[in-house]
Amino acid sequence: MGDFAAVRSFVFRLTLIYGAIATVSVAVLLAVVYQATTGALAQQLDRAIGAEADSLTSEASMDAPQGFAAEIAVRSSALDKSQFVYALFDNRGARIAGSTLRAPPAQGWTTLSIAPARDAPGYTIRMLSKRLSNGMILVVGADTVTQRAMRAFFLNTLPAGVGFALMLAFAAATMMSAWFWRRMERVANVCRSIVSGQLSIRAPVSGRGDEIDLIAKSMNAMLDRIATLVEAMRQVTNDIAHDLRTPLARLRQGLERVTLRAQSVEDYEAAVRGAIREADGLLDTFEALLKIAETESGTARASFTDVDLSQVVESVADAYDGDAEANGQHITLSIEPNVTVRGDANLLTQMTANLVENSLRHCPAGTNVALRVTKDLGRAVIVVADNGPGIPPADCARVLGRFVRLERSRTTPGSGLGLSLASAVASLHGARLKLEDNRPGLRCVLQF
Amino acid sequence: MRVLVIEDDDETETFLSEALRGAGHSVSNACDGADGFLQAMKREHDVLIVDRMLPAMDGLTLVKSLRSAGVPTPVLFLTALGSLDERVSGLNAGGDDYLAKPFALSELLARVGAIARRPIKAKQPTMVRTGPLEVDLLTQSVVREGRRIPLKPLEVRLLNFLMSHSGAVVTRTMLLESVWGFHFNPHTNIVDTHISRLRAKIDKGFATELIETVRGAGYKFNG
Repeated sequence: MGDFAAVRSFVFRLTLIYGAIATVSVAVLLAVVYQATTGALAQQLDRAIGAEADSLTSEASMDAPQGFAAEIAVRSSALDKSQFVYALFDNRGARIAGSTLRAPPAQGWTTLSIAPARDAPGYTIRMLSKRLSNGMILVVGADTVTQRAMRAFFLNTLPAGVGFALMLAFAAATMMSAWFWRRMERVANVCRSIVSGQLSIRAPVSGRGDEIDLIAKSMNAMLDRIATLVEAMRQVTNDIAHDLRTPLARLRQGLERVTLRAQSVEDYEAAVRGAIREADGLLDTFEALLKIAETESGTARASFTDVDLSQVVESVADAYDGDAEANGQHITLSIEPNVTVRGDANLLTQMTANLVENSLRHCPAGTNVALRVTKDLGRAVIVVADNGPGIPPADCARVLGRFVRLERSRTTPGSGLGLSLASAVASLHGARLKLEDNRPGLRCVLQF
Repeated sequence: MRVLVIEDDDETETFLSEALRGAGHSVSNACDGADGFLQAMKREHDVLIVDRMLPAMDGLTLVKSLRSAGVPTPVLFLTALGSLDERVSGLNAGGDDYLAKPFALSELLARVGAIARRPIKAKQPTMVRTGPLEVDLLTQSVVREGRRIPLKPLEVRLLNFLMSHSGAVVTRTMLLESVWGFHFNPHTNIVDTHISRLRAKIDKGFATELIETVRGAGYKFNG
């Protein structure tokens, strides 16, 4: 890892393959053009030869044979100015005039290749042989020089062009892969730095919005998320260190005191019962902390099902109804049926129970706790509202934190974790737990 | 009852054995999964108490193997892993109940009693009759000594659970889990409140009290 090697690079291979495909397709295109062009040239030449032969034939019918032979001789001698060559044979096949052909070629079209001589290159002549009405044979031919030139042009330029294109592709592949490698290297370096402990470092984003930016941004988002989780973990550790020390100290003091001062078995029994009570409280706190951590980790999302919130809230209300009544409080319900969300039924139940418990615990006799489940613009809403003492607006966000207990409620039992768990469960379900002033009282609103 | 405790931690094992013997059970023990499996296969027990994390063979594998070998002995899982997922996987592996460490002794004893007497359910009966009480689960009607007692659906569920464990202690946690579906510990005494309401309805005007409070443990239905 680290050192640039073009052949290992993905971009290098990609560019090279792309260059090769482009080159091959251009070569194929040129071959097709070559075929079409030479074909058209051959046709054109044939037409010119045919036209010349026709015009001579019509002259031959008018003139005497000698005059015609002379005409051919004249045209042949003007070879430099004309593209055609001529030959005239009598009806026995003997040459009368024109070019150096020894014998008349077969009737119709013939292509004659002249082998290259010592001082002249080879060439090809296209000929039309025609028997005239007076029995003589007229031959008109032309050099295929244009076609030869065309072929030479293609054969000379095509390999050079293809070679050049391939070289260009190779050079581009090397350059682009090196460039791409450098940018990826920067992202990889960030990963290496993080591995070595520099957790706050982030991948550079060029702002062009390209593929590498996409990776860099996703990676940065992932790192931010991890940083949040690590920070939360640190926070929990601190919380535990602070807030579990008090009950542990109480537990220890109780046991120590009884070893020093106990007079009777009853004293010991009382101390042991007290210790068990403290230990149970500690275990409850631990369980709540673990549950919050588990909820915040989001693993429960994998087992989400459709949960009927109406039923959940109703069953919680059912469970706490008797308790409320015993304390002189009331629970009133306003539940729209069949309001469902994707979620974890157990956690949603506990969340609702925590909110209801919170209201019941902090409200005096005679208060009312109203539970409402509705669907607002297609989104489920749970409201738990009481008309008790409420929470000062400044503390509304704070009480969702772990172990936060307001001064007023220091004397009531509770761990200060109920609302934290409710808030964690809400976040797990993509909902937000908002605490509001119910004028008077507390209103907990959960919007999914 | 013959209880086999499969637990690798000596202290927990001693604690469990003493408590179970104190409650009148005969206890044998195994300190790793492989030994536990052999003992459970060799001799007949009424209840197995299996720790989730064991050397040689973990608790889940052990119970799965026992079940596939056709051993139907009820299993109570013990674990330090308290999350609901763990619970579900334990029950899916063939466990009958699940108890997270640490636990109260009364809770353990009640649960051992409950799973040992758990009948092999062929079909959920719709008509339950225990002692003087008769409950029709379909019509939700409850009759005691010929007198109809109107109950709410939740109260019928609560009563049905108590009756199906007639004569045995059921703890508040067991009731919360089975009747309310609450897998957490509420900080109020909602169970006590509901029990006292139920009591007021089914015992009022009759000579004997059917629901007994067991101090420090839970409740018992005496049919």
